[in-house]
Amino acid sequence: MNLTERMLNARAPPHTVPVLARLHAGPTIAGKVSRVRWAPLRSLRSGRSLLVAGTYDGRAPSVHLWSFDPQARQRLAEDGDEDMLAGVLESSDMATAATHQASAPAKANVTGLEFLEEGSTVVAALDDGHIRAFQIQGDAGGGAGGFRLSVVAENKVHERPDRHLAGCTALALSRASSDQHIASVGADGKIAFSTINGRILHTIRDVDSLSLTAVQWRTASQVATASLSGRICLYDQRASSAALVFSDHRVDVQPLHSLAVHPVRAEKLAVGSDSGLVQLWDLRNTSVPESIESQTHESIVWEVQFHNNSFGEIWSCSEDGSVGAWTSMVSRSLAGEAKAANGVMMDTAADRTTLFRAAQQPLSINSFSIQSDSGALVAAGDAGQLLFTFV
Amino acid sequence: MPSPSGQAADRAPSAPQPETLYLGICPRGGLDELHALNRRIQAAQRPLSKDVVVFAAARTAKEALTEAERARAQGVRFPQDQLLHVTRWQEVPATRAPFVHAALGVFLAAEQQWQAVADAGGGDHAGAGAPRARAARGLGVGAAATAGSAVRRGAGAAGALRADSLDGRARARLAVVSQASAGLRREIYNHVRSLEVQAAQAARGAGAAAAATTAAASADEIRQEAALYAGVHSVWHLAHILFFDDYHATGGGASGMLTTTAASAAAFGGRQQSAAAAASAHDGKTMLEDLKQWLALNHTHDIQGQFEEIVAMVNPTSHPNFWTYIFKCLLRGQFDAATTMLELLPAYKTSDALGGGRLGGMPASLRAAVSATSTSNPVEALKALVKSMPLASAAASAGSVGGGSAQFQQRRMAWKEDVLFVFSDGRLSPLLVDERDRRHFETAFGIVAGVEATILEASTTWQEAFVALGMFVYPQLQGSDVQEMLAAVAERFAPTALLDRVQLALLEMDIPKAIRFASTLDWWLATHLVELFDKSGLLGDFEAAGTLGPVGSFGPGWAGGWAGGNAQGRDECTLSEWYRLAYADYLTSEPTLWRAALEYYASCARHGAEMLEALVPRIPLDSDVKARKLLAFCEAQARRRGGAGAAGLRAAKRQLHRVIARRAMAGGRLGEAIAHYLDGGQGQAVTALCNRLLGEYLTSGDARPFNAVVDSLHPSVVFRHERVAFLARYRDLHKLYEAQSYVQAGGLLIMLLSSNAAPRAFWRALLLDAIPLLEGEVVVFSVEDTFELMRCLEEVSARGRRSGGVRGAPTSGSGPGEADEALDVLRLALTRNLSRAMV
Repeated sequence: MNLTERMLNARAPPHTVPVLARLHAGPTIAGKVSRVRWAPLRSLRSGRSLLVAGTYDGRAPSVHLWSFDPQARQRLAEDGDEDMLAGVLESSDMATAATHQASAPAKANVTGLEFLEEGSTVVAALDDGHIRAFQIQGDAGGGAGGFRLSVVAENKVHERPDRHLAGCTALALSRASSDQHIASVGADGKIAFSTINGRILHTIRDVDSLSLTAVQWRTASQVATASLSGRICLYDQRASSAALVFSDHRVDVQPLHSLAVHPVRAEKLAVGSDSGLVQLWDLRNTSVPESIESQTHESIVWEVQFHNNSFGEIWSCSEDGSVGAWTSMVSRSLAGEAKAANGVMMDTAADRTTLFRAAQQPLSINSFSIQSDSGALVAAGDAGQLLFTFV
Repeated sequence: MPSPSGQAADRAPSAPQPETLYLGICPRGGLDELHALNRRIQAAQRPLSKDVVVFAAARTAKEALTEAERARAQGVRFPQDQLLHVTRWQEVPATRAPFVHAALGVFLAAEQQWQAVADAGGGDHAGAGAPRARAARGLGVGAAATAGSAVRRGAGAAGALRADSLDGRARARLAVVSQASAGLRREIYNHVRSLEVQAAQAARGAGAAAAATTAAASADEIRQEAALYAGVHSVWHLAHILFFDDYHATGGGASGMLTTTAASAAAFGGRQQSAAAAASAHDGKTMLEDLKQWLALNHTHDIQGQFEEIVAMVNPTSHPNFWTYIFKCLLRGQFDAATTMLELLPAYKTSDALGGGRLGGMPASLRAAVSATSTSNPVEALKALVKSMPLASAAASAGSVGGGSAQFQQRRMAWKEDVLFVFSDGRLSPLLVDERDRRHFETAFGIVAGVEATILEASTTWQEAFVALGMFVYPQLQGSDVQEMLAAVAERFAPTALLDRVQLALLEMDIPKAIRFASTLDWWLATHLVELFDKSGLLGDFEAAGTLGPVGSFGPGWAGGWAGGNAQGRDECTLSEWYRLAYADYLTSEPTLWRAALEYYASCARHGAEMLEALVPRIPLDSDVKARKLLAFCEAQARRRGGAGAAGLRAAKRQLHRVIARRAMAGGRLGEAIAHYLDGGQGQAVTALCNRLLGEYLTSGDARPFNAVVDSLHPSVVFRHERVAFLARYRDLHKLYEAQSYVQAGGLLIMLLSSNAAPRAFWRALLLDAIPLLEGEVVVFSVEDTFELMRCLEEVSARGRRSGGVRGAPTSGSGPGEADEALDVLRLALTRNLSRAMV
């Protein structure tokens, strides 16, 4: 198939009716949530796994910590009681840490949140250009107030002059097991590499004239970024110019809001766009996206993730209040290679999209996180409520 | 008996006096001092919000003062002269924000389902026009009126809706209303619970958790909010039972099946609804049961606390409130609790351990067969009576003609005879009762027997009395019964509190009065009650007749109440829409609730679009994510509306782009400014910015910012504007230079000059860019090209001579002298190239 034909085919994404499923409602955080993340499992405390959520656009943006019982899934299967799950999270301890210092009363919204591999430190990227590291202390057994979040380090990485809308817009941690580096991007068009302790290693300027919206580490020394101009750029950590820049030239400009790199096959990228489109790119051929793309959502796709446990699903959450799981032949083949030993026969059926929605809650979902072992998915958004399901 | 609805009771309580905010510009009541100093207070309000800036200004201009006055004013400095006070004259309490968002979610979900029902309706809607137009009108009077005529309302507590008069679509609509109502009640309940938790935390002074989330709201304020919302919950629950719960409307368990057939209308809700209906599909779910539950949930009056007090004592029966508690349980229908307590009375115990008391040891198998008439133990008798009291089933209480009702009446009469056997004329003849307890037992039996006076005397609140009357005196709850019950209750208790008034109005089915009182209680409550009444079609008559009258408190700052008259006189704004507009206006006072305000405006069919257009560009953009969300919201709304509304919203979106572009420009981010100005439709601004960008590049020689901007422009964006296209091609030219494809570079250069793609101002720069090409080894330009270049050169130098400097282009020197030098070099290079090309 030559290029023209591929383009023509790609214009009409396969039309599949999405399967609808339900997200269960959990406890409410006072404030709109911009990021949720599960802690890595090795950081279990008293058998409970941890969850952090960052809020924005409220009177006091802050980082909240919840603990969660991973055995809940078995209990759900036994009892079949959906509402019981709400109690599981509710009875947990909640600790909060404000994102701004008392001396600087300007609000600093949380725009990025990640756990370090060792599981007890959380790094948050803030609206005003700072990156803060929090340490989780304490234990679950102590009842209310058992956990505490305390600020360990802070670093001003991006500039946010008065007229700008945001300083730092996204954050990513490199995949080393120790001494992880932080890559952060901002609305000033800069990529900054820094360490937890506050040392800035390297800054790349003028990456893009529009705001950079997402960054992910692709290999040990390379990051990929997405921006509102629709471009995806790859940069090496110590370089000053891009290794690779590409965008989708077929149709109208698609501002990109999110980016994900496949955990095993690092040449596969997924991006989420302004209009609800989730695209899969192969770095070996950057002139067009992989011929399959999915109009999963109707509005901005805030986060995209690869979930490599199941059948190569690409998960995304969106402004229209849904969490989508999209499988396509291509994505399944990605997972299939990872599981090639099992000899599982993949059915070559068409793409399938499953949309998860909360009942009676159509406000935007800004972020989600999947815990790989227990398969728990937690999502949260403008309603301030933690929604979850098991996948 | 006429209800006590005299003029006094019908008038809403006077609106609360507005609070005065003291800013400190002058001492209280010290305006004279201000005038003496030639000052006055001036204020300006921010559009579409509740912020106001207040400051001291001059009373009369200095020039207009007389000499003496001027001299006097000269020496005096007014301390507040340079101070601006920015304040907000209405605030949404911080704790309400999560509730607003949760309720918004339910509201939006209901809107979507309603829309789906309206769209699925198709053709059986007389004179409706295109479905899209109908959907755009959405909640207009049209849909409600048609639904209303299908479900004509009459008096009657159990609702006069007949299952046979409803068609499938009307039932689907009722299902939407019922589900929305249930969802909102759940949210109110969650909110009250979370407020109670917060109040407890604040009282304990727990550290960071409370401080971060409640933002210095004191425990008292939180408790007040909790009390207010507990009241709102009580009112909402009652309204749900009486009006919105479609279980009663459609006559029982059938609703479960119906909602699943209308699955397209309520995909998720259907599951919920059918689950709930299935759970209560047996005939026991009656209005009375719901009322009992309502009482138990909302008006506990600390019955649990009393219970714990009593059982905590060593000898419970000697607690002073022992009998009061038992009466309470009986009145509320909690018979098990009552009988358990009664069995604690030592004198009447029948357990084996006590050796049977007076009754003697009775075998267990026979004990169950004890009936009220065959025992002399008052406790046993009471127990048997309440156990055997027949409860009306759903079918029976709906008053439908048929076997159910008659059977029930028969059973009830038989039971009544048993009661009368035991207790008649205030005497417990066949029972052996201790003298001390006689009075109490008489009251207890009086309650069960349905003696009105006893019931009214034993109740502590009117709600208790009402439910008790319903249980014991008027078990079938017909419409006329309810009137009498209310009259009796009002006579005995004369409730005057606002909360009671709202509930009484609801029970009387007097919707206008209920709404009027509700709007004084809480604006959220009034708005959503009106919304659901409108959807159920209950408002249709009242609106048209204009009987709703002036609203009690004129709402939150929405000047000019709706002073009667018919709906048409006000630009066809339905009442429901009016309330939603006022509520949205109230929400604009809190910046973090911007999304809720926008959504409520968006739901208003008639005036919403204009309000959105006005509000969207004025929302403060304090974060990047917020700007993106606003743009997405405008886009989604424009897509949803279609037609005139869409045009307005697209205009709002363009204005938003311009706001963002202006900010970006002021912040020195030219690329972002260009992109947003393009989206905002401001071509001239784009041209100016492009010129500036190029100018900076040519002056400073720093290619990075220029490249960053131009590279990030998507091809589809580039060709929207010719100056931007020129920039892109200029960038291409330099790329070709770097790639050393000189011939192509030359071709592009010629093309840019000859096709007039390049603005005159930049010809000089372009021509100077040609010098390296001319001096290279390869002959890049042909004879025609060279002539072309010479022509351009002459034009540039002519312009330079005329105006003494090229306008708009950077001059890399101090005057025409140096400029001419560069051009002379060019002229020389061109002649040399000409000679080479001719060879």
